[in-house]
Amino acid sequence: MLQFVCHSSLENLLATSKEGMNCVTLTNNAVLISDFLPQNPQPIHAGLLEAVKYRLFHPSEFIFIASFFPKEKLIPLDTFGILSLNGTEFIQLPFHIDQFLGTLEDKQKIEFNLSKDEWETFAIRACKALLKKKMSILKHGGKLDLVNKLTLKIRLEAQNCLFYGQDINVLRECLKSVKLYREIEEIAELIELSNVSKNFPDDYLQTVAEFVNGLNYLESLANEPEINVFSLISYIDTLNATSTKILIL
Amino acid sequence: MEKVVCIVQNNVATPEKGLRHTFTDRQNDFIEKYLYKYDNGKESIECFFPKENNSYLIINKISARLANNVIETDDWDIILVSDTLPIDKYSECVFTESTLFMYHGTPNNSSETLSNKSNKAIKKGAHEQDEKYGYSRLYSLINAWIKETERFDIREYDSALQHIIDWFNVNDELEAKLELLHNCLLPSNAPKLEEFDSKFNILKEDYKEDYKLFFSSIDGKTDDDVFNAKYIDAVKQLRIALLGS
Repeated sequence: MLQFVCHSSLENLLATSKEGMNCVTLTNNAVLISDFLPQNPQPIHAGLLEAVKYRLFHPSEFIFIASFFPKEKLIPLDTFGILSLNGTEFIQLPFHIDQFLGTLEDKQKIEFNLSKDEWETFAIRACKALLKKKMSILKHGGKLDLVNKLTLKIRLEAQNCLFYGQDINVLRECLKSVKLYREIEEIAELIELSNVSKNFPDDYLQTVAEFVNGLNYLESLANEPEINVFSLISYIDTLNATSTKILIL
Repeated sequence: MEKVVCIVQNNVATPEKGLRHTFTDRQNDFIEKYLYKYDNGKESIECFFPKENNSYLIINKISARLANNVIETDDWDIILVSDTLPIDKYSECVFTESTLFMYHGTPNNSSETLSNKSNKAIKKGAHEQDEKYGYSRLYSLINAWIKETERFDIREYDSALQHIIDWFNVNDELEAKLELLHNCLLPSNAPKLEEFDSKFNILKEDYKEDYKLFFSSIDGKTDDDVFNAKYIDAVKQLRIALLGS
């Protein structure tokens, strides 16, 4: 199946040639991405970054990048080298649909393999840059700050249980807020990126993975029959420290 | 560094318009202190506009203050000015060599009046909640405000100000060229000549003849012609005329 992350006119153009599209056998998924994406706040060349994200989440799918600019004009703007990565095909617009469909079919027949080195070099660089950008948004104004928005309250409830005999269910209820925190769009995207990069040999990415694991663990505690409150407090302190470490790294 | 004057519509009685529309659901301390706030969820109090004495909100790295005038000694990076104040009543101090104007058409302010007085860029924004429309970028600046100290976080402030200034450099002409070229991929989508004038006004002066040539070459073509080499060549020629390669 061919997916589209592109200007609607380009999608319509290919829909017009539906007959041709139906003749193409796509054994694997592929995506057509426009360099120009008017729905994006910075539409010119926005497709390059979209292609990077697509590659991170779909390492084995073919990517076609379409642009009215020639490839050599895009290369200096291609921060992560997606255009020259195995599995990416550049198409300058306008194109002959027959030729495009032919290329699409040909590329499908070829299994592309990114070497471990090639994949890791690309993915580590891209994930780190995207995560750091994401973290700076989280840091901005402290809006999604972990301690203020989440762990401070849980820690207080845990202390109340430990020292003042508060009902554990109050703490359990409070732990449910972890799920809501994880579902905030920015946090969900951060988790998604971390899931891609958690096994890469890089200190920063490992620290982010630790942070995400910590959130997962806290969330799981809400459903545990027994909670060791003392360890929970110590766990929260470690998680807060990890979160601070990511912000300053 | 450039300075920014941002003409804002901020009528609390019409939340579907102006800054309240831009900032819908995004309340923060700065908004409450300087722009508008709610008493009890229903009634609202205006802090800035339409009070006559508060036509200007003068902002610099350190702080912000409401004022009824701007004077030579004022230190400012960005000024929000109420759109109820006619441009010819503006303090002359705002028209510096490096002032950029973000405006939104209103009865009191026309782009002609503004361009007659401004030496630098003027650009029309909109209050839609998207950074490409300009006004939405103000949020990053006001979000740098720290309630406790009544000061801006300097690092956040600098980057937010730059983000607003960057909006003036967003390449409208190149966006219009790429939009036009994409529209021309299908003959049925290619704008008629009169549509070109209205929809791609920004390109009219420099590229009308190129587009006329393209349009005459595709006259009578239907969407079936997208498979035709001649049609592709016509789009290619238009691409070369617009983008140079």
